[in-house]
Amino acid sequence: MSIDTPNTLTSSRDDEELGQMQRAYDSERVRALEDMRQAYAEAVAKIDKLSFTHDSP
Amino acid sequence: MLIAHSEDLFHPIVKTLLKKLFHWLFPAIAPLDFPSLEDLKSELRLRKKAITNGRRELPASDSTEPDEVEIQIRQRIASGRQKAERKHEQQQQIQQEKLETFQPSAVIADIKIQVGNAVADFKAIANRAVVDLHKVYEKTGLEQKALHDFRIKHRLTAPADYPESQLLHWGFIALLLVIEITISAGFFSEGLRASYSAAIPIAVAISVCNIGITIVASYFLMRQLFHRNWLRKIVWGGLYLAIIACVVLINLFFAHVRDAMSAPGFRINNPSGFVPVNDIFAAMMAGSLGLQSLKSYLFLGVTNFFCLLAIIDVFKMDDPYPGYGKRERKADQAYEEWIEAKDDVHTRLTASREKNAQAIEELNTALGQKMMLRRKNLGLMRSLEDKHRNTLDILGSYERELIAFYRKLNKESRSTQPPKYFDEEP
Repeated sequence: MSIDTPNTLTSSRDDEELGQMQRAYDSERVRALEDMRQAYAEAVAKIDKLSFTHDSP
Repeated sequence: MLIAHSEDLFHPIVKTLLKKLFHWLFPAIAPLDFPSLEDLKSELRLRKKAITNGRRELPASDSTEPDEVEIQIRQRIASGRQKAERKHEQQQQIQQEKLETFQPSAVIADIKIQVGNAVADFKAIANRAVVDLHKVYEKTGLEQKALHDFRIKHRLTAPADYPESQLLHWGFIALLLVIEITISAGFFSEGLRASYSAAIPIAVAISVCNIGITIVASYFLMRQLFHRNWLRKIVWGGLYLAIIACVVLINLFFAHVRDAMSAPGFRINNPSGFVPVNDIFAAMMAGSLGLQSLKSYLFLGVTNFFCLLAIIDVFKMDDPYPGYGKRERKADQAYEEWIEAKDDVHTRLTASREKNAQAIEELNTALGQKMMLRRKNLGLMRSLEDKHRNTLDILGSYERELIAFYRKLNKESRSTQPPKYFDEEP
């Protein structure tokens, strides 16, 4: 006797869903780190602009 | 029971208790509580009914519909199936609720917020650091400009020459004072014909007049001799030279005092002990040193030598040009503060960047844990689904076996032919 119960929770679907989530996070992480790297570079550039010629007259 | 096909290792009562405990502890994963095949045969009294009906030639040979016993079997199995379905639905619902607490879109949205916060936190720190640094930069710039203007105004072409610290010079002056007091007390104790300690107050007074006045005058006026402005050079420089001349005269005066006190017959001629100051001034005004004792000359030489040492020491304390050393020191100090502030900002920025980058990486770990939990939940749901299918398969096989058992016994107990449907698959 065969009982037909639809099983929608297939392994490939889970993996796809979790994989999408991981990819979304990864892209978010890369974007954030790049954003922070740029902010760091901008801040350092602003600081480096501020300089003195501290030497003999 | 569906799980009781293994050998009977436990007493039935113990088995029942264990079974109930398992169902109580793990209701979500406990298997369906359904009688075993043999129990069902007993429950339905299949053996008796099959034999009885067989002997009565029931069901009739020409019957085409299942008899009551087969209907009872199907109904019993159908009730078990319903019970299994209900239990399965409950279990799946529990797991589904757990799954719903972990929505990928919500997790990603949350992560986006946290990542955004980390970046915003870093940017805020970076902006604040740059603003703070600007303040130090402006202050340093003012000091640098003041130094530059000073150099132009006074036509200074070389950097100021001053020691790292004046502490050593002040220490040297303290040493000069101690040595001079010690030596002067020695000279005067002989003159007074008194103890060494009794001469110390006079020695202190001499040192204060000699080194004290020299230091104060040199510190505030000596450098005016090097000023570009001739008026200042003449007025303040002249005043300084006059003060130093006075100090030398004071030293000469004390040498005379010492000379007079150590002269033979001083006590006899001056029983009160007072020194003939008028005579001393008269001798000094005559332009002659007029000292009688070699030791008094030696005392004069020592005091003037200490005066010279004090002048040299104060001179070495700072750049010769008045105010130049102080100005450059302030500019240097401001510049050092600027360098420190700049390094500090670099350190703060790097630390903040690393901290926030680490926070972002930690989110990855947290996400991995959540994903693992989700996989576990999904795995459990699949396992429940498989178990449920297995249960339904077993119930189906029970149904077939019970009907086959009934038909076989019925067939063996009757003398007439059984109905044709007995040969069909139940």
